[in-house]
Amino acid sequence: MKIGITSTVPSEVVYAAGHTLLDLNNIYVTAENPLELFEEAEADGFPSTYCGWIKGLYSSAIKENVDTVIAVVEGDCSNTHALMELYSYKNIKTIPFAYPFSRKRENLELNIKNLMEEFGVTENEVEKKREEFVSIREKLVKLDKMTYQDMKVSGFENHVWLVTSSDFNGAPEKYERDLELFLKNAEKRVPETDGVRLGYVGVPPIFTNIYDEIESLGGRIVFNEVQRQFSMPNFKEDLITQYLEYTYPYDIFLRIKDIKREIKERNISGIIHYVQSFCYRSLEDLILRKELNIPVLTIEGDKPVPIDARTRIRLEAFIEMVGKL
Amino acid sequence: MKRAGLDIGSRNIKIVYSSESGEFRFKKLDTVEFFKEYVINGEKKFFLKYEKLFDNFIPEYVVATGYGKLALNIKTDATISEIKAHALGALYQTKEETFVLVDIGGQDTKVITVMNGKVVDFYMNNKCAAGSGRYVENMANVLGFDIETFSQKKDNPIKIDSTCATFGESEVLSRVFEGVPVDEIAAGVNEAVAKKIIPFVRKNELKKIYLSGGVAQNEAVFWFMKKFFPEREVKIVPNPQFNAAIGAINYEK
Repeated sequence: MKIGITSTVPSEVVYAAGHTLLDLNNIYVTAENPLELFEEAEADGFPSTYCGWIKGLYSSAIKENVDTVIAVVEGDCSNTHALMELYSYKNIKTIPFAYPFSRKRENLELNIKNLMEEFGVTENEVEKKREEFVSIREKLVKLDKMTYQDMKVSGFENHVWLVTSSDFNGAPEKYERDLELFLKNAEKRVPETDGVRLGYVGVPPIFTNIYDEIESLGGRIVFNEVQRQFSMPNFKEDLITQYLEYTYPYDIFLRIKDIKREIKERNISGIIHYVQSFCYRSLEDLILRKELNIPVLTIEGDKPVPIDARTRIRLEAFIEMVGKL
Repeated sequence: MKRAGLDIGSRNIKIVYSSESGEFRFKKLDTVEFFKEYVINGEKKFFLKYEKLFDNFIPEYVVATGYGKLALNIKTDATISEIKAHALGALYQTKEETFVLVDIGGQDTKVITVMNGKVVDFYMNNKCAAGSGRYVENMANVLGFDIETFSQKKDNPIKIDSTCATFGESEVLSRVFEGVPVDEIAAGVNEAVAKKIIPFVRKNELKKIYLSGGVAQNEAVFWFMKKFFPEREVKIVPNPQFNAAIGAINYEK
């Protein structure tokens, strides 16, 4: 069965049940014409003042003909409840999954157990999958180090590999083989040490060309915060700990702790904070800007199109400024 | 060296050119007129009709900035961001090293913090042109004022909620229908423009605030800015509309 997800979930559970996992966010942005999917949702009545990701998730699930969608109703988007209702209305089965805001171990454990029950898998089967995925996650850590230490992997490549680790492109074994080959080839590259070292924080961008633009303006992304979190960099212990250490669904302070540590580790000079238009997370920008002690540029995107002229000017001025400090 | 700085803005193109002695000459053109009359469309780039544009004073070094500098792909010797251009312009014109520059242009508002001659922080509006020059222009039109008269209205300002260049009109009109004197509505618009800047200026406590851009010539906005920041020194940079172009002409690669 094809199981869609609205945000990262414990993929080990779904794969243990033998299903194919599809992150609808990835299906959306890698579609041949993502703007068409965005516009389809608006044609169905989504108001223009709603998040562009929600619109894409809606159209992508219909287009991909998924049987079931696991909807992350706590710890992700505040509109997901209504999105679930819209899926049900379109005869797509929905399963709610929640990362408890309290971040209490027993609550998360209960939610993951419910998910296992839903898919009819045992703890042992899921644990086996977790162990299988360890080697992929190790390779992703290596890829990340090759981005900020060895300087052989670009910010965009880092983004693509990490963002697709939420579903391993629906085929974990192939994903691992491709990743291995990529790393082997990347190792042979000459390190590229030029550019202003920047961190990208916030949800993945809906803009189609932002990494290219940042690089053409002399910036170099050496940290993709949320994408890195999707790859579960803290995979060493058990499944529950892994998803408790996953910062994205919990509060901003946990994320800030992670960002601060990585700023130091990766010697980052400036942060680009991406916020999605109409997303509640843009309020967290207020805290983030105050807490991080390095320059922060907040940019906002709405639909899957190239960045607009004004965003480009702001990026240009920011990279220029950070480079001179 | 004969030099020129171009600021390709959304409403106007501001041009500064100078001889070897360094004396500036200024020229301002409407953006649409500029493209009709002064630009030749080449295969991949646009070329400027130098002789016409610079009145037969052919510059050897041209630096462009402004909203249109890349979108229009004009062939120049260098391009710089508007933030940098404004900072360089204000550094040159004010001879100060540490200040906040508030630039309110046709569709952008920028607040730039310069310390010891370097840009250390800036704010620039994202997509929305609320509170910009275009808003002031539109509201003056709705209320039937020319821009000079409008920019003197500062007494008894009514409270304006929306500084949106588009939706602001319906609010202003509803006040007219309520019978509020147009002078007071105009004063309200001018006050709202200045008020919108407050949070960005408050981010630091630098003593000197300079205004630039077309809206800096709005006397009422300047008056309200001084009123909102009584403990600071609010001034207008010389040649406020040409500040970025002056920054561009002073840029060294």
